[in-house]
Amino acid sequence: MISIVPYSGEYKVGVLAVLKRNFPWMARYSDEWLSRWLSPLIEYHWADDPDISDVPFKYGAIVLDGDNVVGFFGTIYSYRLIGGKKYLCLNFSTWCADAEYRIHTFSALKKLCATADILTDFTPNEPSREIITKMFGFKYAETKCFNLCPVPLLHSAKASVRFINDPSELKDPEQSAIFAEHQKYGLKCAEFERDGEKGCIFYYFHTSRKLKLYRIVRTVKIYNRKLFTENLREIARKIQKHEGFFIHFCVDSCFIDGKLSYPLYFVRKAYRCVRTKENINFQLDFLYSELSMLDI
Amino acid sequence: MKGGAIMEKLAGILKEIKSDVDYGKESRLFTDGILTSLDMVRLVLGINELFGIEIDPDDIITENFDSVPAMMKLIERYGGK
Repeated sequence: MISIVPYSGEYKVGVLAVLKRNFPWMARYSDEWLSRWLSPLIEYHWADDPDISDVPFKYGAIVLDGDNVVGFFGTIYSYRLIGGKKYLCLNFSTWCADAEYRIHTFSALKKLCATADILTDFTPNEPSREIITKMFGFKYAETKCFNLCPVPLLHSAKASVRFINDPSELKDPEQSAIFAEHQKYGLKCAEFERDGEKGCIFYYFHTSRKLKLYRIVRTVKIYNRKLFTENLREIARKIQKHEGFFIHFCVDSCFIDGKLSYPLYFVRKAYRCVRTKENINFQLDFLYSELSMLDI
Repeated sequence: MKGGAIMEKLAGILKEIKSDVDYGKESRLFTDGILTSLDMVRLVLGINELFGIEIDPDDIITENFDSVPAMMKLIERYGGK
């Protein structure tokens, strides 16, 4: 008998096992390590949580065959304030089912999709992309990610960058709230300024599981995209000085305003899928997603 | 729609998805992993388009798709044209 139930701690061992069976890279790690890696996803807690506490599948969904865990859908719920109205957003992450149970993915997704106003999946693999775009109405909100290689500055800096340690340092209440909610999962924040104009970047400092030196700065949200784009080289360089060496500075093209002017970069495909209820003007960012809390 | 016509259209879809399977003999197409979830997407989209129906995700279960007769029964239930 197949059933789809909300995740709870009693299923943790089964979830780790099903993940290891379906993601070859996860199978190479101990349960203890995987459990630590997964913990932001199954234990996350936003400041806004009282409103989300009644949401079904708050910490993910489990596909059960009898008492056995045969599938897992990672879910991250959050509220987004758009046009003065609160919308419930569901981000899918790290979902899988054992081969013989994958057929149940469709009914599980139907159930989960019905729970929120905005649905996102920012790191779907090819089969997942096919399923959510062709059968569940997701659209590609973004398909291009710039990978910038940090380069030294040949002139004196014109923009200043201030790294934020505490949410109270941010004057904008929205930015402050975002940072307060995400900081515990490793999200970082910096304000940039030039000629009195200010902007803000939220980024995740991704460290490779295999190669500790392979570190990536992943842009999660930008305030003032024009100023960011115009001063990208300086901002990237200053983040590198602050954080230490990294290989790439990743920026999806949705964060770039106008033409990117940067000396050394390559572009890779990055499929960011979104589905919203009608008339919701969702501006793409990667907050409240695995991209802002997991080394993926 | 008569069984023969459904069968003919369905066979066309299935052959396009995977041509080297003896669909007449197989009765555990998804249970045994002969077809994958990606094949399922193509199969459902093909059925929806060719038969003018819209299969509910809740009906995408092994019992309805593991064999050709099961699929035909499902299409008939939806009133496939």
